[in-house]
Amino acid sequence: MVEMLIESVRVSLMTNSQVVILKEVEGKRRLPIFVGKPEGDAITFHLNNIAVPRPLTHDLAASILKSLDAEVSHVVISDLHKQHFYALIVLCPQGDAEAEITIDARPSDALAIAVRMGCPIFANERVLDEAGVEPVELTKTPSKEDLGAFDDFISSLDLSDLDKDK
Amino acid sequence: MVEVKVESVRVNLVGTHRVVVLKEVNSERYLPIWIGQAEAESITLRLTNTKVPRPLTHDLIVDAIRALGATVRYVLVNDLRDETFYARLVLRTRDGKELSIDSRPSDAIAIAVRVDCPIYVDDDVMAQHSHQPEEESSEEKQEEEDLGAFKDFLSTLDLDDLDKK
Repeated sequence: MVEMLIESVRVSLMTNSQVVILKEVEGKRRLPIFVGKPEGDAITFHLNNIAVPRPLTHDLAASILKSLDAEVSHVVISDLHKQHFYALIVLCPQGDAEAEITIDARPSDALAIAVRMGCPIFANERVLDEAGVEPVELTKTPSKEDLGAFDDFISSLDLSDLDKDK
Repeated sequence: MVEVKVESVRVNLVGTHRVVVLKEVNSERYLPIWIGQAEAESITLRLTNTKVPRPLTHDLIVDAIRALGATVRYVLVNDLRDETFYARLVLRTRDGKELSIDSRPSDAIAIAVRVDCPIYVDDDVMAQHSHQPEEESSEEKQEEEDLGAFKDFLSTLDLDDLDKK
């Protein structure tokens, strides 16, 4: 398992969906996961400390877990099957790590609960290998030689012609 | 406390909100509560036994409650302040302790329909905010009489003439 953090929650302008970008804590790979709007909002509101007059569904989930003395040990993006991500929420009743209970969840719900319970987020290594993306970065600033063709083109231009058409 | 059932979930055509209508058991009082779209869908999907490929948030909550050995005893719509309804989710823990958790009515109802527990409404809330369907009043009978002139007019028409032109 690889520990992840929520890098961003982005809005898709084409659909009603939002995309949660998870980033490896010790690495560069990102894992983009599409989530529904209510779940995306639930994650964003909590991370931005946006006060809501009444508890959202995930606030209720968190207060139920706390009232029942259950700790969330961690959540894990556990599988990817037919373009659907699967997640597990791992609970410790009465904080007892020996008595772990795992609950099947959508990643969006698992993440919305993880941010509220302050627990770590993991991704299965295989899922990350399959769906993780590494951002393309400029590895070096272009050298004078790389720009040579562009220089040649510029110097071939006869700028004195520019006004002659008028 | 008054026991109610979910009578219907209705769509408001001018907004994204939905209305869940609660009906008093053994009585004709109805309590409409505005709820969000996601919660309305969650209630509807369950009441229509629609299979969903992955657990919805309320399915997950119910799974967690059960996995922790607790049960939902009932839910209660207990207050209405500043046009906002309040509800409580009443749980019994594995060791028999009773817990009452603050919730929006929509979430409480979405959970209640999944665990098949009773839904209650506070007496005062029901008394002040429920509606009763109007029975056919003498006013409506009066209206029928008012339409008499229209009926007379209709009977004077000779519809056989219609095609003659």
